[in-house]
Amino acid sequence: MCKSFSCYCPGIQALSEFIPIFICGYIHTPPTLVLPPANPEADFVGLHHRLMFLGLIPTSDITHERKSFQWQSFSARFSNHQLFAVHQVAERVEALGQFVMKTRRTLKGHGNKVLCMDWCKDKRRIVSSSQDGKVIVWDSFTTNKEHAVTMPCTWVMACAYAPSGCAIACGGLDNKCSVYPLTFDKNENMAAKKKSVAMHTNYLSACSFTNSDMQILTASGDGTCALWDVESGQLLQSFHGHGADVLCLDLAPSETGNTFVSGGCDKKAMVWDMRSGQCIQSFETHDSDINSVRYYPSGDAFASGSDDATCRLYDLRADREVAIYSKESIIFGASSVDFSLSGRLLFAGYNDYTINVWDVLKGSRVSILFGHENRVSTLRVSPDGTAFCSGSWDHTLRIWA
Amino acid sequence: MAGAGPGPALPGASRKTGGGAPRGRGGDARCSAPGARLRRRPLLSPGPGDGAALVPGAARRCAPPAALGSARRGPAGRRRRLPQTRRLRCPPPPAPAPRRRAAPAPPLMGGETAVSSSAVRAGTAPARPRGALPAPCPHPPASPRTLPAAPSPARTRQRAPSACCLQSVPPPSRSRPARCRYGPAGSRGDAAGSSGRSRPRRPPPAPLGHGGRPPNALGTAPGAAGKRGRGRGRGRRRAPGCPGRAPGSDRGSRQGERGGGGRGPGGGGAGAGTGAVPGLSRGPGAGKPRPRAERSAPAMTVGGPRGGHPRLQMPCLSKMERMIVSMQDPDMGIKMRNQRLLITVIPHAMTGNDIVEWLIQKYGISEEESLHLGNLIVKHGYIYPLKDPRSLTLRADESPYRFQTPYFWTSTKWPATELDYAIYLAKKNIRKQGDLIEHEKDNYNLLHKRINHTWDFVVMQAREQLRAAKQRRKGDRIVIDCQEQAYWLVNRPPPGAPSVLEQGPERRNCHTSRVQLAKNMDYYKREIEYCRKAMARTRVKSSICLEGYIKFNEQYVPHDPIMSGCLPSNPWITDDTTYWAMNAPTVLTPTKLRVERWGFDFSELLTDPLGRAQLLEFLKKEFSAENLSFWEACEELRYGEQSRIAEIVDSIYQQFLAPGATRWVNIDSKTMERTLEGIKTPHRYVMDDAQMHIYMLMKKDSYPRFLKSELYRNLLAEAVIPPETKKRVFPFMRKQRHSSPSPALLLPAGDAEDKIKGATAVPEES
Repeated sequence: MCKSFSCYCPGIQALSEFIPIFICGYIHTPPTLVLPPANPEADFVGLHHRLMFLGLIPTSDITHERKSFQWQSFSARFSNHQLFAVHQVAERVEALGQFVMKTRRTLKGHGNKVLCMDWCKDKRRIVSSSQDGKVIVWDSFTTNKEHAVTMPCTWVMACAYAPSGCAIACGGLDNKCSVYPLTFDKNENMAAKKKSVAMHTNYLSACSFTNSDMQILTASGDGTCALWDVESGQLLQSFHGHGADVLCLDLAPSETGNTFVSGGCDKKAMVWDMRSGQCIQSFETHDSDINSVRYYPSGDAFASGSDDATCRLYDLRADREVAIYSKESIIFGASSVDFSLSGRLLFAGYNDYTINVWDVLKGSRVSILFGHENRVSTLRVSPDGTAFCSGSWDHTLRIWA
Repeated sequence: MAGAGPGPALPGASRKTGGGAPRGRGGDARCSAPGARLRRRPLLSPGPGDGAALVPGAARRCAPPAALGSARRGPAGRRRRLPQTRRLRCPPPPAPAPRRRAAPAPPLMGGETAVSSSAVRAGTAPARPRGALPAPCPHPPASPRTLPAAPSPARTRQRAPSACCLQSVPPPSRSRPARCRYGPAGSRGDAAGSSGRSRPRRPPPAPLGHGGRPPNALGTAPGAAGKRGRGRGRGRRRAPGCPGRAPGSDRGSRQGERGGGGRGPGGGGAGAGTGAVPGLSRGPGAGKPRPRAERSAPAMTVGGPRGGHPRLQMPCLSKMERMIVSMQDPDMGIKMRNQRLLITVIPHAMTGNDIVEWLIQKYGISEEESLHLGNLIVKHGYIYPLKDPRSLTLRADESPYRFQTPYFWTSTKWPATELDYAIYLAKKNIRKQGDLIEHEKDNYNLLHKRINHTWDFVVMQAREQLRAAKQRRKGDRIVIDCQEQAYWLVNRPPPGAPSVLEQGPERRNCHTSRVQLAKNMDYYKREIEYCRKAMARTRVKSSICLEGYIKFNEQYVPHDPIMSGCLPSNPWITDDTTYWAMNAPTVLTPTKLRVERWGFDFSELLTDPLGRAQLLEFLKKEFSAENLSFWEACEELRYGEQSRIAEIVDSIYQQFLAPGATRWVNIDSKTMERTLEGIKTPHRYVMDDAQMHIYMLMKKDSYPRFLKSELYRNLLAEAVIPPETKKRVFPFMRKQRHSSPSPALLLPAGDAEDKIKGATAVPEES
């Protein structure tokens, strides 16, 4: 069916497929599921829209046209919406055996809720930020603190380690993203070298360096994402489209992709083209705020964790949700998700103080990890996949392996 | 009734007068005669058999405001236990209709003091003066029948909380009084009732607006009220204009005066009291209209659960409520029984074990998880411990627990106001004779200062409630105390204890978002453009995508240290950093896995610094090293500083594109043309086409040859497979953990050039 729409060039012959979707043999959907041709009226409406689309009927106004498109893109996606989930295809994949992960390090030192953390590329350093405005750089292997910065605001909700390991970025209720170069000069005050990069009109909810230290991508409660030039603080590109606070973002792993995905309080996850600032794809199947998004390591899909207590997997090529990770006994929202290196495991931190480990292919839960004494707010797998780190409102970070 | 002024004496007074007064349509419209109502009550009383008993007889003597809740609940039941059968027969409350017909109902409990107390109650119940909080129904929140088995979240929110208490609350349909938090409406109705009917009246536009909302959230059917709460004028409307009405008999006096209650005490002058001090003591939020709760989607989370702000629904709460409701299912739920607490028998309680067991059974989860989940439920105040009620934790033993009444459910929309808290503390203070816990003492003093103007009311309320409590059976008293305490433990957690209600900085969802998308032409154009693209997009069949995952997974599982371990050992587990040393960005002999990984995909090779170095070497041999250099330079341009763009573009041009350049790259003429055109106005993405061209060239051409080359094969052959570290003989001797030099040290800051190199050399991890 995909074809039926892609070959949808303005041309009379397209009219012939005004019983959309069905004629072609690509459909897996049972007919009952497909909306449009179900009744003649719908057909008519569909046809009408198509005609308008083809320019054969003048569109009365632009809104109208928009509706027609929405309808079409809806039906396109709908018809693609087969009722089988990942695990059905993955039946032949072996189930995972018993799975043991333990807390290997506990990082104590924050005086309040840990809100965000990020790994350094050296696989052992970590930057974490907390509610009391402290940002700490740890050598998590030895659990030593190497740097500490106090931000002028509380709720530092975003922090990121620069790819080179020479700087950190953080921000929160100050609506700014500040970059601090790391220095080991005792006499030098880190705060003095602070550079305010991004200015939003509401809290900063997430930030991430792009492939270099020179650019930073931010997401904010003002409903936008933006790309900034670190050195000049110049806005390079802004991304409008979310209908509410943006809570998270993640950069595509492939170096050619040049896209990123963001999720927000409007329950939407959107994929953006960094260069043009356009939204390329958007997905709206969550029932509540999307707290976290992470690309699948191959870059073909991404996972999201939401306040509706589910995590979902969206495939970018199929343009749809392909799996949902939930359980009746899990009633608290997922605050943070990340994949293991192979993409087989999805680690998700929840507001019920636990971390659930999902088998991505089977859609089942592999394990549940207890340890934190308050909600898990952030979770990231280390760059080499040897461990993951979780931060919690219980003021600690834990490293699991 | 007419004259029944405010005054503490009220209860009695109203009792007499109101005797015959049916609640107007406001309160219990459905029963025309108080007696009837009374009779009816027991039927509806959702409570456990003993529930009736639980109902404090408070109302009997004086309808102290405090008693209201309980009074409502089942006056008739007091002291008597309803036969089980009866209870079972009663219709579920959400369908209040039958109640209208209640009058003819058999005089179940008719007799005793009915009239007088009923009168009291009639007056009282609905109009629970502010502060009546504590008395809400002590019954288990939802005797199974009370709640719809699996209420949709919305529903739950709407009614569930009050399901139990609501029993006495009129059906939503006509008698809206329930909406008024205060219930004054109800009372009004009652009052009206006395005169036989209520005349709907348009609310005067005046200040009542919120006046309509009684100050004390707790006052009446809380749930209903909370939600619909601001049915501002609602009550009013019902407020009979007739002078005859007993102005809020019990609601009385005080309230009226304060204007809180809204409908003033003056019989005829409906607006009198009200207008005077609109919303006076409503707590912080008093003056401002609250956003409608209904509108707030469940998804919303809000920063300040405190104060006058409505508590917005956390989605987890509705799920938890559903869980709680199913726990109370008569068949499938937890079996409840009497539990002994010292010498007192507490009806309808369960043990911690029961809860854990039930969760294990129901959700098929491990005991640990079940205990954890149960603990969270307790922490959120949906189940409270009877033993050691100060600590909301679940113990998987024989200690008794009880379901919180929906009235006190955490999700109820009405905010936990200062006033209510003050009353609670005052009560406690009186009971303990000033011996409050430290933080409570502080709060008490603080509140005393802050709402000093209503303090006498607070104290009066507290006294009345205590007095009412005294008349209850001991078991009831314990239960009610625990309920209340649990509620306040959740809503005003002691300092240091994490609050389960804390949500973090406020978020807004689509409905209340501050993001205003300008819905102008541009917006729609963009949307059309998006849809157009979405339509044209080729969608891959999901089965194919899924195959892709499986393939990817199979390929990478051996490389995933969490899935299949790593050699020689995982540094986090053994404290041995050999693994990192062997896989450092630059090592002489890479591990086998690493070299293999380069073969998976071109990007794998490029992202590994060592791999990139090898590729460069290979390309040099092929005399096409400039391709890689060009690609790197383009990356630098794309991710580099804004200020250096022109400079970098220029250098790229000089090095790679200018005719006769030393490292001229081979780009097809079209792309070259376009690029050269673009260079005139240099920007970050000016090289995109050319870069992509070269990338594909390397990927399609050089990369396969690299994989087949001698170089790569040699690498593969020489690559090491590190032996697994042997388990240490003395595992208890902890290995020293050495720190490593920080990357910030390795790359002296300030050298921008270096930094960029470093940055591009170690591209962002996936």
